[in-house]
Amino acid sequence: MKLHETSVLGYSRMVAPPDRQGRLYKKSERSSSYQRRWCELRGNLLFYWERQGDREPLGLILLEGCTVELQESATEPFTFEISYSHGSLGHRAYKMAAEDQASMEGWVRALSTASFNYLRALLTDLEGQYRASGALGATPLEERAVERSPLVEAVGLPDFEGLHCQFGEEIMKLRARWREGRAGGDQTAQGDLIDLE
Amino acid sequence: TAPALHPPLLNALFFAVLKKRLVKLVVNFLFYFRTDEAEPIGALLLEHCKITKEEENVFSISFIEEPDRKYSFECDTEEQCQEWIEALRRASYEFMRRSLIFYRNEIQKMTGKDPLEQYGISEEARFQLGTRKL
Repeated sequence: MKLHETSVLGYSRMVAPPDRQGRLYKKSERSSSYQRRWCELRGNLLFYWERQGDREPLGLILLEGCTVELQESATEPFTFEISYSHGSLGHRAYKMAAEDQASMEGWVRALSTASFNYLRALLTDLEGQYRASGALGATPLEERAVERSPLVEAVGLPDFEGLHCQFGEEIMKLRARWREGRAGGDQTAQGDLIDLE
Repeated sequence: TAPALHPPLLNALFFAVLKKRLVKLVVNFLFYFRTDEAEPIGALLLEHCKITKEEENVFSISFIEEPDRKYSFECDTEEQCQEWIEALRRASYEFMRRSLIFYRNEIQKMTGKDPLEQYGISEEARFQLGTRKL
């Protein structure tokens, strides 16, 4: 299967800082030695390079439907494992070692809540709370604020006009869709029962 | 289950070739298959990209890093086309993250409470307002 390089590399090179970055030791699949890697977590993808600053990543791990657990190792301290046991992927595990206790704990926490499905579950919950709170007689000023696209709020830009000029037509469409969706009481939620890992 | 789409891969230098493919959206990846096969031929990551409505029944995906290249998809109906556009635009981790930050901020303003506190993730950099750049 061919992973589309432009999209994957493009994401790894986004200007925004990654969600977590640092040195980890990854157990090689061929030899059983641990190899030093520079790792960056971005969304549900863990990218890794041989060295920090290298242009091309060596690989990436998709953090979806996996378990991240502390793991005892005979040879390395501060080890943990990212494992999958789904049908088509068979059983597959990535053994990683951190440099110290704090780093290990931080990585395990970050990786175990990195999945798209986890974020979706959080988002569904917050959407529900937002509707519940909003329904309790918001003032006209709040209603207006509420109509703004999430993109505007998230970057804290002062006004929609500025954003429109900067990003063009795409923003207009997103904003209109956002407003329609909210006005119609429409589900932006995906509707599946989701499991917070 | 995903409806079958026909994605011609348009390249300015070559002829447009219409190829019938089965396309599946799974989290933030768009997998595509030859219709009879179980294994995907390839996958596109739907981050930092733009989904554009083109002519009737057609939409395209282009990536910010590669703005001149459009991956076009022709659907069976206009309705299906709109459904796909909707679904693909929301199928981005970054889109969801921005939405989450927005809701978090709004809920905090309206109720005075941080909704992420109960999950023990209030301090995480990835959910902070003002750290995300487009």
